[in-house]
Amino acid sequence: MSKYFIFLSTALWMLMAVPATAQVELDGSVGGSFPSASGYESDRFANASLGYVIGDWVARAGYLDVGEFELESAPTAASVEMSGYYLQAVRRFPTRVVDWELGLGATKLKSLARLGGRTLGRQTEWEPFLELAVTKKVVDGLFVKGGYLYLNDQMGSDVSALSVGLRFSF
Amino acid sequence: MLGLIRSAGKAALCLVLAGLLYACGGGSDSVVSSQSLPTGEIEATIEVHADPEQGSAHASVQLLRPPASRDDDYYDGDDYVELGDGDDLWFTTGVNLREEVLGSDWFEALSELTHSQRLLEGDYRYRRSYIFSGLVPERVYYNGHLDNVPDGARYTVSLLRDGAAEALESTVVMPRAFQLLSPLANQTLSRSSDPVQLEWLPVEEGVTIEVDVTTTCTNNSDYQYRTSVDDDSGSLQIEAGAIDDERLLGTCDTTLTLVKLRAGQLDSAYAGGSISARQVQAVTFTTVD
Repeated sequence: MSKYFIFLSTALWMLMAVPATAQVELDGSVGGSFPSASGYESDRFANASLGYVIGDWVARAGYLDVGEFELESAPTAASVEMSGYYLQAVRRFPTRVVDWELGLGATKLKSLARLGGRTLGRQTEWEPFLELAVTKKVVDGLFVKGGYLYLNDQMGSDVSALSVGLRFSF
Repeated sequence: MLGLIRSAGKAALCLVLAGLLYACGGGSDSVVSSQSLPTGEIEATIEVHADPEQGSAHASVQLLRPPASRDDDYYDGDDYVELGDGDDLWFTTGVNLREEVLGSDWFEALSELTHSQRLLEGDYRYRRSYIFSGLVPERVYYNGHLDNVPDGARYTVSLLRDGAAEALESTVVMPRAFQLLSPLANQTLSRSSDPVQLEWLPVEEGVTIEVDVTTTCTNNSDYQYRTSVDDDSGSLQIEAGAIDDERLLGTCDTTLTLVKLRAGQLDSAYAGGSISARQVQAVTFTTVD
């Protein structure tokens, strides 16, 4: 419960501390996540964040639901699940058509290994991740976003995620 | 009117039969959940059967709450135990699931564990029938199989429980696969005058030999002969006439099934029961009067 409180407090503090010239962004995106480990199925992916824009830089805090990857055709159900809160620094590269973003983040990733409904492994560690995104303005304050996220060697497998979503800027 | 009398007669007959059953102490079996039951009040019957042709092994487990009294006069049915949430049975050739270590590559480790660890699933009917089995048909039991098992493997069946004592180490070593050399499938023997000579290889210490000979004839008559010996000498002779019966006529099919059985070590957390492993070979040959 306390970590949710800290996360919300930080987000609210960021909102209140925004100077008049700065912007705040709310992002939400969904998609699919794909482990590199063979024999495992892909899963749905979700990403929600709050960003604080300073020029071409964005400081972002959010939550990643990376997914639960189930072993295909296993006689006993087996899966690895990952999710976690994150902090991220993003460099924005505006162009005339779209804005490109390259972000480096760290997520406090909670990983669970399950076999036959039993949790065999549980680990929470800070892990780095990389994100490449492209945004396109729809109307003032509303953007569409497409993104690619990469987690390297998470419990034996790299994980890639493709997502689309919306961004509200105010 | 006649119908009414008949119905009344049937009802009276049912009442008399029910009364007789009650007087004999005949009760009905029931199913109880494991959730309110300490492991020390559960008896386990665990049987592991090898399938050497498939290279697999099949585990069957029946759990029972023993009656307060074993007095046959007051027998009131058995309580079969159905596993509730947080309780499950696992079958493995490796270490029990609690001792498994995933290491740094969870994906690979889980992939391997699905081959070496099997969650046993509940069922009410046998998918297979085994001779010399101590399992009660049509009662809840748990089963599952492992593929690509080595010959003579050591098997562990574990009861994992959340919030109750666990029974992790019920173990048994499977007798090695063997070949039945005699009798041969194309052999014809006289049921009344020929002894049945059994020979097999290899022999093994610590196993019991159980033999079932079932003869079925074209006139739908059948006869079953069973015997067992405590040591594995590689041969056994069934005396002439032992597999014969006056109902059997003419040329019949006789199936001889030889079971090598080894008893294992049941986890002491259980109230009682047994664990055993069985290696089976069968041959069908022709018999005449």
